[in-house]
Amino acid sequence: MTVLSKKEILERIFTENENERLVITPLISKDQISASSVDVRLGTEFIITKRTKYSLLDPAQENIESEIEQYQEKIHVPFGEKLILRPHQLILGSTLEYIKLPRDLIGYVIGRSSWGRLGLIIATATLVNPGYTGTLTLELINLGEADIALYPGSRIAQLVIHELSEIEEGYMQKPLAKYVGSTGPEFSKIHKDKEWKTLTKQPP
Amino acid sequence: MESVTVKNHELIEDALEKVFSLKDRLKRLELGSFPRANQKRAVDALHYILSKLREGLELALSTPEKDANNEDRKLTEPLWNIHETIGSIYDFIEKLELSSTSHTPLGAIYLVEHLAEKVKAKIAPIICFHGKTFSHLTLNHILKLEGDIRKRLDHIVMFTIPATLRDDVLSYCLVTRELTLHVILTEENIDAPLLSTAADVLSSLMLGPAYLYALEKFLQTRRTPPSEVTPRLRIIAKTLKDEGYPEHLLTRLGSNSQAQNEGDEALQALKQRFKKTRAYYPPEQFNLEVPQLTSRILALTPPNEIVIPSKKETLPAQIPSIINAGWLVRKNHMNKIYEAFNAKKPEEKYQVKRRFNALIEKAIELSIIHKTLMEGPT
Repeated sequence: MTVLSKKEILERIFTENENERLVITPLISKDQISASSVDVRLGTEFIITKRTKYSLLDPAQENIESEIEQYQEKIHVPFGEKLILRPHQLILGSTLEYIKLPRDLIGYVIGRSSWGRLGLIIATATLVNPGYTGTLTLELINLGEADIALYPGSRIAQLVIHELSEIEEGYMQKPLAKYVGSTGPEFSKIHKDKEWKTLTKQPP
Repeated sequence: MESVTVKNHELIEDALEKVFSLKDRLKRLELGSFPRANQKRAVDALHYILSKLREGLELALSTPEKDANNEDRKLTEPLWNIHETIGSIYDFIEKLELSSTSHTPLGAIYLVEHLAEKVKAKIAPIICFHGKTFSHLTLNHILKLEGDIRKRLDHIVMFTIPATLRDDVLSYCLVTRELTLHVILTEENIDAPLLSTAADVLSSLMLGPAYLYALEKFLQTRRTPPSEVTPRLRIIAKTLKDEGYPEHLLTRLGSNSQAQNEGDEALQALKQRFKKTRAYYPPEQFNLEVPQLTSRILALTPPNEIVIPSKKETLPAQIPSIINAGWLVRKNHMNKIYEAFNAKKPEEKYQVKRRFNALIEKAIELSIIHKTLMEGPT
């Protein structure tokens, strides 16, 4: 797996071959693309944690989907305003950019060191599958001791793109795949994993 | 007829209580989130009005009490007016609460703010979903304000979109009719019988065929008699045809659409004036952007930007182009989107439609942010 260079990324973005096209939109400036990665910006929607009567999140539990939604809340921070991330707080954000990877590319989201030095950890789920379509959900955690202000539209992470040596069935080929076409951060859908029944010894 | 004695101080104290209660309510509103500056402006305006009311009422309370019967209107009328204004402020605050992004989809807010800025830079639009019809009311009109206060608050306008359209991003564009009506009423001298036609014509010039599609769909869901609907749609189709839009985009209304001749001269002059403003969406822009944006939607990508491969550059798409591309996919190619998601059952199709709407809303937001970031600090 080779990492795509700036030239290769630009070629993939502007290619007329739809099957090979890499979509990163909006691409506001070519400066967003460095030698081996693309800077992605923070979007305007967030999922924040609420205090509820539920103290346990058990992915194998029945009705966990509604419990997750009660435990978390979607909010919007308009462009031009800020969201304060408290020390040790976890929130879900998303990239401003909508990404579409062709079937022969795979991506990794990594934090920018400038943010990391302030204590901000970005994206613990870093892999972006071939064929993925949508915004990328970012898990944002403040590991520092001081509040951090987050501004929608600011460059928050980097997307590193690799070429696959062999083409696999793309994410989109699976009907209504879990996170396809998302336009903001998504609640966890871990309960949709198939193995919970086996793991909890429930009848199939 | 028996005369009714009114104790002024009782009425004044009652009004003052309501003023204090409204101030508390505004404080609670402020502690909540204000997603847009326009809502903040409206709250500031209400604070100002309430402080003026309070001053006046406290001054009145400091004067000796007089009894008045209902023939002595000089004494009672101002107080009844104040009570009416207070009632209107309660209504306005209800709508302000509904206008927050927890109740109102972001796409609607972005769209209306963008269109309002195009027609008239001074409007501070506040938008909420409520009731069954579209409407627009200035804060002045709602509160029947006069004098200096009126001038100061002239720009705050509440636009209402029917609650049933909350999940239908492409239909939000019908609010354009309220915007153009507002402009015509405040800036133009058009005879009352022509007002509705004039607003339809200007809205078509502002949005292109999307206005026709949205209006046709909206009227289908209402009990408007065809004798009213058909002439209206034909005038819009005729306007678009005159603009040079291809006939296949207007087929359902026939290629021989006839506009009424009544008031044609005044309408023509209005059209010409409007076409010189930045609110005008020319068909050339439609032809340049909409085909590419339509392809983007079919590839499940938001239609927010135009790619120029020769320059390896992208530009934010015009908002009317996004809405038009959305309508064209919805009218002609929705099955392809369902197929892409392998959606066959009604509920699966509904889920896909939700994603489609979200894609259009996202495109509106991205286009506006893209443009803002390109332009840099102002």
